[in-house]
Amino acid sequence: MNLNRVVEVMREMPLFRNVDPKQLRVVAMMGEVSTYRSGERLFEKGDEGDAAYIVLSGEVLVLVPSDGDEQAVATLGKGELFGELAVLCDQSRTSAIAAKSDLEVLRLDRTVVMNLMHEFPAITLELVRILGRRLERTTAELSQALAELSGVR
Amino acid sequence: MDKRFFNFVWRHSKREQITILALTAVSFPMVYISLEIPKRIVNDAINGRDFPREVLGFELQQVPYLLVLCFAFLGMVVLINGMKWLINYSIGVTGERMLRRLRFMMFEYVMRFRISAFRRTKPGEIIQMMLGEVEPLGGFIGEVIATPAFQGGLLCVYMIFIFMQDFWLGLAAIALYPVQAILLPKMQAKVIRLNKARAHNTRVLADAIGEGITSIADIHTNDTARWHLAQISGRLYRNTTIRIDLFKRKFTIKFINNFLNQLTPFFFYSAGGYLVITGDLDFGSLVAVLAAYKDLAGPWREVLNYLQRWNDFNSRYEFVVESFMAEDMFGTDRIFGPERAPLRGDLELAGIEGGPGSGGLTAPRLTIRQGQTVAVAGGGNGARDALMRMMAGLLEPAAGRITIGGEPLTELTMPRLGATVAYVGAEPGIIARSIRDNLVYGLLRRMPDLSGQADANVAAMLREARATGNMQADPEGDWTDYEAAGVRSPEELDRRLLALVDRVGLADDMVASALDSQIDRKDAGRWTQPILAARAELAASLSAAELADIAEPWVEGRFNTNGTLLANVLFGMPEEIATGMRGYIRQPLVISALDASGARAELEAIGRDIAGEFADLVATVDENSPVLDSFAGYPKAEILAAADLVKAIHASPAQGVTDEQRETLLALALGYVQTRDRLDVVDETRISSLMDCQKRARSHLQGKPGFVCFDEPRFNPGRSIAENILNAMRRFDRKSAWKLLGERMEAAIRSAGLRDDLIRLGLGAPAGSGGSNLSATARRRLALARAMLKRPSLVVLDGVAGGRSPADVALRESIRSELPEATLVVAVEHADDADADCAIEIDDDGVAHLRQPCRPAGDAGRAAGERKRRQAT
Repeated sequence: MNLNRVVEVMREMPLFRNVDPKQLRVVAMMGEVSTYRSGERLFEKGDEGDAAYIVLSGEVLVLVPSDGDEQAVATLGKGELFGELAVLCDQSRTSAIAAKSDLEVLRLDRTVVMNLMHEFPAITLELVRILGRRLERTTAELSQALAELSGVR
Repeated sequence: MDKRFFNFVWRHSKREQITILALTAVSFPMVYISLEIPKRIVNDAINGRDFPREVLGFELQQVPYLLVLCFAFLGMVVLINGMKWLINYSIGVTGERMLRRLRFMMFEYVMRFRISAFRRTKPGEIIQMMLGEVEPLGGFIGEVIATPAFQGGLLCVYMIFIFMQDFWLGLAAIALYPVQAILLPKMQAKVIRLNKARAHNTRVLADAIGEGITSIADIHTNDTARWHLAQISGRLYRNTTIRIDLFKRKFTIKFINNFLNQLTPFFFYSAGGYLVITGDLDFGSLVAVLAAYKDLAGPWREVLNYLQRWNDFNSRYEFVVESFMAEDMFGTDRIFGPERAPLRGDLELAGIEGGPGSGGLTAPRLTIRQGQTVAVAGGGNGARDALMRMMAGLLEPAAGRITIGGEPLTELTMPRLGATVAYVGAEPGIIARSIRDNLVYGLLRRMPDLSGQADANVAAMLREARATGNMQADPEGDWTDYEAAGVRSPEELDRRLLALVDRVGLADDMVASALDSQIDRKDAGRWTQPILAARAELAASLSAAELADIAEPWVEGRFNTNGTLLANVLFGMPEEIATGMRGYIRQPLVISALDASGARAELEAIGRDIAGEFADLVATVDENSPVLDSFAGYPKAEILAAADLVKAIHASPAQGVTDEQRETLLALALGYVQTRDRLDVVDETRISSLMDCQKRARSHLQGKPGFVCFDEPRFNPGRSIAENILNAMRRFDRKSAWKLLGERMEAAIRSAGLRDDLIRLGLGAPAGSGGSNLSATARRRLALARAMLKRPSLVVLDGVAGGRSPADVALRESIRSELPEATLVVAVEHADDADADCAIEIDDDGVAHLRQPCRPAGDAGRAAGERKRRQAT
């Protein structure tokens, strides 16, 4: 997939809504476009978090182990970002990722992500906002779960 | 080595010195005759009367007589200069040979030092002594006898002449000689001391430079570059101050010498003149004495000069030699001893005390039976290191004895020790030759027999070696001791090497490096068949769809999105390897094909678009941004240069694009790979235009030598072996599948019978300085294979293959099965790690004891069985 089309996908993403398209082009340039066939796995739970990904076309499944088997907890589609937490926090992968269909992703190496965040503070700010929102949601879900749990007791 | 310079010179160059002296003596009468003839020409031939003269029975008139004398003069000139040439040549050759002998002796002494001496030996100092400090001696050695004899002789002749003219004047002429002869050595003593100080300083400097290079990693990680620079700067400053001091002294000596030399004529003019005026001396005598004194000055200066150099070089020689004199050096037998068979027998340690630096190592009594495996654990404070090295004969205990088969290990000759023991440390020594040479390094012990050699060059080499006490051996000959490896021929050795390399797990590394390497053009033909076979095997192992999913094949007329534009236009690659696209542009074959196909204009336009993209990129980020390092296809420098180029073209549009700029644009375009770089610079129109160019390039290149088309069934030495086997471009968007391709290629190589050839190719690759081309693991494995190849009776593994990992266990097992009769001593972290027959444990005080009683030899397998039982319970 050529740069122009990668940039088009990225411009649709909330993360990059306020980012200059010129900067998006740089992000697209420094990434690597990879294709996967349906069912192929991008990484496993516990792998080193060496890259973040943006789905360019197709869908991926987020897989977590359950009772010796695996369960898909989410499906991510075009324009969605994944793997960024492991990259930012130097963690290992918390779930496995597999291609749900034929898939194209933009793979951003850890050093590339770090360099880009350094270079373009606008991207960093958006990333912080997204992570913050996600944390807020998780906290809300957690308190709701706790409330339900105390109700059960 | 002789402690005194003259003894050394006389012992090894008597004959040459006497020859030079004789040549000098013969030249004396010639010089006399050559002075006599001009006198005869002037007085006799030109001013003379009473012709004809009789010369050798011929009657000659004046003109023929003049001509005869002139030609005789010419003949003498030629003869004298020929003689001078011969003397100078002899002096030069003698000096050079003696220098070679001295340097060789020095290195031989180094080889004979005890290992403990190397704790004090600094490599930089040795190099400086061997190469720098003794260098000037060479020039002096040849004239050590001839110069004083010649100049001294001349001096005597002139002095006798003066004394015969007038005794008192003669006395006056040499009156100051004793003053000079006494004063000079006194003044020079300080110069010699300074010279010594300078030599010492240079040695330290040489060592500091060496240290700066060997510890470069620590310099970078500790930020000590400035400190090291200051050290060097300080040494250089010291050198300068010594030099300045030397200049002062040297030129003072020169001044005094010159002054004293001129003082004598002062006496002649004043006293002699007075005597002539008063009539006590006749004028003729004074003139004669003055003339003689003038002649005297030359040789006297030479004699003084010689005396100075004599003192200087004597002290230089002694200063160097004393550094090589150690009390308890090994004898020459240590190196040249005859025994080459390995010693067998039990390894016994009795009353060992390690002494300082050995972590307090003591070992009262340990016996290891031949053939046992022994794990050595504990003693992390240095005691284990010391014990391991002692058992390999590399370290002498402060007290006690280590024997193998009853013979003390530290007193063995090198040929014996080398055959008996193999020691593999964590940082094995790798020589800067091929990996193969490093493997057979343990066998390079048999001096090639040169007696039957008729080659004139070899004969000359041997003659020269004999004349200088050097090694009478061909350094590049076959030194391999096949017998020690248990093989009979180079072919058998080759098979053994391949087996061992596989055994220690180096073979895959060798194949991988061979796959990435290129073959010499002249060997290319040989590779076509096996490569095509491997290509067919690879194609058969993957279905067409599978292959297309990993790699994009080359199809004529179809644009390959994973190949460079260069490869797309040429539909093939030249046989000559080039670095970078600029390298290819410089190949006449490539540039003519680009021109003939008409691709150049199109490519330059694409290059311009690429440069434009890069200019936008550079404008968006900071120029020094590390982001620029991340673009896969083009390095940062090229991106910045392209951006600059766009700026330059925009700045002066009227000027047009220069040839150099066009070349840059062309190179940018030729290296472009669509799937990797993804810039929107090659659209459908351009692709079809490039494919038209491909057609024209093809007809231009058809049948041209030095070029291989992608659909030509021929090996291309301009591409790596892996590229040749695949003959397609790996897809950049399918990197996740490359591993599968690698596995399939490995299998294809095996079934095509290419693997051994590739391993051989890998073994032929250079190991690099200190093994820098190999990983640390590969270096250790290489050293293990080296150890196994020579079949020693004792193997000491100190920091290699001593862990619990499956790889280490496998390595130990392969040593055990390759060398079933050898004693194997392994340093381990935990005594249980090695499947050992017994363990030596070193406690915190450095005391070593056997933890389990050693079983008698032949029972070696029991330990492993017991371990299994223990694990089962």
